[in-house]
Amino acid sequence: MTQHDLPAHEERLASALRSALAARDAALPARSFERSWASSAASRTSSRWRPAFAAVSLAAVISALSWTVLGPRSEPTSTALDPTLARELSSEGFWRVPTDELLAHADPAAGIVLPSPRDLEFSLEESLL
Amino acid sequence: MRHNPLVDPRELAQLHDESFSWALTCTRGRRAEAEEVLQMSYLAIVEGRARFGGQASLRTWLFAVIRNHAYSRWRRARRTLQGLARLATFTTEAHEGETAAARYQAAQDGTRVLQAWQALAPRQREVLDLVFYRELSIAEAAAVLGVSLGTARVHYERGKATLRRHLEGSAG
Repeated sequence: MTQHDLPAHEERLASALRSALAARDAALPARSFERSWASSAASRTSSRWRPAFAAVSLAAVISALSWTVLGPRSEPTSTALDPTLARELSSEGFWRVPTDELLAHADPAAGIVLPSPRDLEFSLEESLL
Repeated sequence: MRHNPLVDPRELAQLHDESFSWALTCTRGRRAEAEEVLQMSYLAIVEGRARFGGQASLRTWLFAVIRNHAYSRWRRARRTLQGLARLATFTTEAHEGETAAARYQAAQDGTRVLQAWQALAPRQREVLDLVFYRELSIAEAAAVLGVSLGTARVHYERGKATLRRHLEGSAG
């Protein structure tokens, strides 16, 4: 059945709808056929790459979050101690301070004669000032 | 790029205005969506992804291709709508649609009819558009919508009744 077969009351309804849709189409005309083709390639390209951009963005966000949560800590990490060094540090002689040997290599006295405290005469009050 | 041997681009060009009008119907009057749907339909046809078997008329087949793309797009948008970002886009598109709709509705006497028609269920709206406006038979409309003839008849009858009720209600 087409509009030509419509009874009168339906024809009025059809006519009203036709007028309304024709008005809509007049207000929203189609762009030219050629322009549709020109912009279709760009539209298709952008839509083709859209999932890739979304995936890359998502991966970047996940990486950033992972780095923030699971990244390197501020505390230094412990390293394994070399066994040889450990033995040296554990030996008694490593920590001995060679005081006598150091004194043997010390510079000789400068020969300055310091006054004896016994020769100094000052009162208790002066010493406190 | 493969070419569809049974579709002449010149024929597509001749049907272009009507195809855009049908795309507008399938996208509830949203111009940007209608243009995108039409572009995707043309590409599918030229690249051979949409094959014209020659059983139906080219016009009927083209309408079916456009409608399928419109619904695919709508389904994709609905899935993505679950994300908050898409919600903003949808709001913008809806606003654009309303603005465009307001422009032509305010200028025409058919405002009431168009509003009542847009309030119909999608298949009722489409079958009335195809039969009343594009002068397709109900059988051809059924082919475009991808439903049986009986189903198309039901949508057609219900659409008419609902449209008439809406118009009588708004007139009273």
